[in-house]
Amino acid sequence: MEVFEVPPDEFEDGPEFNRYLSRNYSALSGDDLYIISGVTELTQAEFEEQLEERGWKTDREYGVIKKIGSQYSQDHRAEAYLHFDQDEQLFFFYTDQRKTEEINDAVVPLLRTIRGVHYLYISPRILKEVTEQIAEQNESAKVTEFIAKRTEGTEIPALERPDEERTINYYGDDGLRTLREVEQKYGVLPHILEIDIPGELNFRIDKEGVFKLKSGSLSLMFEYLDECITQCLDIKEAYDSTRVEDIEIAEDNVVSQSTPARIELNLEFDDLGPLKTSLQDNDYALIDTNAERGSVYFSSKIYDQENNLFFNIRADKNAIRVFPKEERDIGTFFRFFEIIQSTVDEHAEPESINYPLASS
Amino acid sequence: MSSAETELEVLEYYLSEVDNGNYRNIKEEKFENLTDNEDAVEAAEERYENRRDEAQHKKKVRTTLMAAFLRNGLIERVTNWEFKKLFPLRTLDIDSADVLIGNQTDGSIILIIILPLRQRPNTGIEDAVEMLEGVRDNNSTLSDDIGLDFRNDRIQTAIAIGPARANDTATAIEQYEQSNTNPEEFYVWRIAGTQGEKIDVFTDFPGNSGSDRQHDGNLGQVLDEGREVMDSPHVLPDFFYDTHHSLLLEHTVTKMASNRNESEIPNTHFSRQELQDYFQETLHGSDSNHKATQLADRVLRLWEHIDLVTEMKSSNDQIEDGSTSYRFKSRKQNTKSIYDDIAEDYDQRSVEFLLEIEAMEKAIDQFREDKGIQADLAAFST
Repeated sequence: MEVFEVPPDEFEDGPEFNRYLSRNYSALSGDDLYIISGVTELTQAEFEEQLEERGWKTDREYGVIKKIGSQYSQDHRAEAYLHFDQDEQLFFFYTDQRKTEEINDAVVPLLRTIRGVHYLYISPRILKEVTEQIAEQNESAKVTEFIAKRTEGTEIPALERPDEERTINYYGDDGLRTLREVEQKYGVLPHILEIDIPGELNFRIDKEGVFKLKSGSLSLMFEYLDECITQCLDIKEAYDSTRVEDIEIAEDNVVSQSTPARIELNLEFDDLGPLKTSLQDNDYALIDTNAERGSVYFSSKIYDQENNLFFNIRADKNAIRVFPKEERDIGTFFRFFEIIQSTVDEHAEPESINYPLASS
Repeated sequence: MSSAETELEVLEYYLSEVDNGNYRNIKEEKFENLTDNEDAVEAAEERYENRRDEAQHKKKVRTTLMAAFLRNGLIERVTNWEFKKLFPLRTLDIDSADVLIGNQTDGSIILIIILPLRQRPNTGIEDAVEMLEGVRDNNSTLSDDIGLDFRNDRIQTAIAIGPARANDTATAIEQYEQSNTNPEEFYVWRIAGTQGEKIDVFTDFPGNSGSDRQHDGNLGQVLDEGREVMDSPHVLPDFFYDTHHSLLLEHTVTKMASNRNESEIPNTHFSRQELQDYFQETLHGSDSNHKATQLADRVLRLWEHIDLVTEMKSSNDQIEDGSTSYRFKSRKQNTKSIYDDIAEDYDQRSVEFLLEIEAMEKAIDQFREDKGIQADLAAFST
């Protein structure tokens, strides 16, 4: 199955492409439209080079939009329209191919394997807030499906057995009300949501930046997702503020100085156990770990097996500082941030330190 | 000399001079007794944990000091005081202070001595006084070394402590001052407690508190207010020369295994040269090559003895960089799994090693008694 066909046209930017699809998508395809989104520290040229190295070729250009494809197995070809937003360093793949085939097997792995790339992470707390905002603005809006989870170490209160990790999968038109109820009773937050505004928009969203437009206006969906994108860009901004500089102490004696980013949170000594377990379960090795009671002090060097990369952390009760070592990678920072939100404090927020440069 | 060095000297002496027949039986019997003795095991565990804690404490304080005083550091930016050297006296054959900072403008230096967690402040002061004599005697060598001509009457000493030890340290300084007609200038710096990474000067001495307990100029003002350095740039070396071997192992396994990530050579393999290169790069500074070699010798000797690494036959050496190759004794394949596997029972192996050393010392005592040998281990090690 090939991706839907767009007539030859020149699109100046992503919003123009979105407006075009909002008007014409139902005539172009009978299937749902998936948008797989990510954030990157690579330039567009570097990003496209990485795609090429993985077998993706540009079939046709439509202004800023490119139709790309990859024969990822003997019988299967994946295709998508790519928009790379150079201002925000975000990218979006648009396709109506199958989620369980082309998308999961060929598109999603790109976000996991290309160094300097990460999916557009939407925290469960933001997902919930966006849902409430849509409900407030549209009297007829309803949540028709959700998957909500309670993760180990979370600080969300729960009336029933707060120590249990749990997943609730719900279908029903009273999803919003149910979501509020299960959050209060079982301390869960949404990871996947389907929202229906009858006659206007029906879409599904998950915390890993995959959106499914079932019907309605793509532009309107992006309006609602603006807060999600802003939050993701805040994380990227904090990452961008980190740096590693060489400092000369004396002749032929140079050391590497690392400027951290902060993750603001509420950290207690008892959070450290679940945090360590969660990191270890997610392919991180904790090295030279030092934890002190009192006002809480925690330091460790961390090895990220997925990206073969080291970084250091130092934490007190108010923040975890993430110090890059030698090499940096945006995916490593996002992955770590996501674990902090799910394990320690779902309200954790990234913050840039913006310390002056050594040369300034 | 670190404790591990002392123990390795015992090991070497025992293996080369004592390890035969009757003495081996004495050692084995003693070792068995010790491993069956809960108190002995607990004591060894405690010793092991304390040494590890000490190394981590020193690392925390040193990296905090470096963060504050290295160029672009939070205190360096607003004072004329700059980090000059780690272990500044190490090449002068004197017990070394931890850090030396200097003020180029007026030719002053401050020796910073981190009080070990299990050392009394008056012992720390006695050591410091000896170091100060050494500094004055070697002024020109040290001046060249740090690139700063300092005056012998402009040397101050800061005893760096966790906040909880401030009073005791201040009392010890006052006792020292009272018993000397021309005492050295000592200050108390509270660094890196459980509050995080903060530096300030403690002035509330029991007998004579106030302005003469703080430094002159900008530095005095900054340290009087105190500075939190957690959010500023850091230099975060994986370890220092005196870091505990268990921490060295954690850094080394992951670093060596991650080197192999995109290679055909198994992740468990590494060469002596790779190990030395990593140590040299981490230790940095003028004598880092020599220190890296010593450190590599020391850990390889230990890790081979406790059966953690093994030398590769040259026919199986895939690295082929001209040095000996080793492999970590793990069947795991990826870096994290190898690390988890190797680190899993390292504490236990290390505690057993301490007990084994005790047993060797017993056999050595018997050997000396039988042979009438008076020389101590230091003579052997030189």
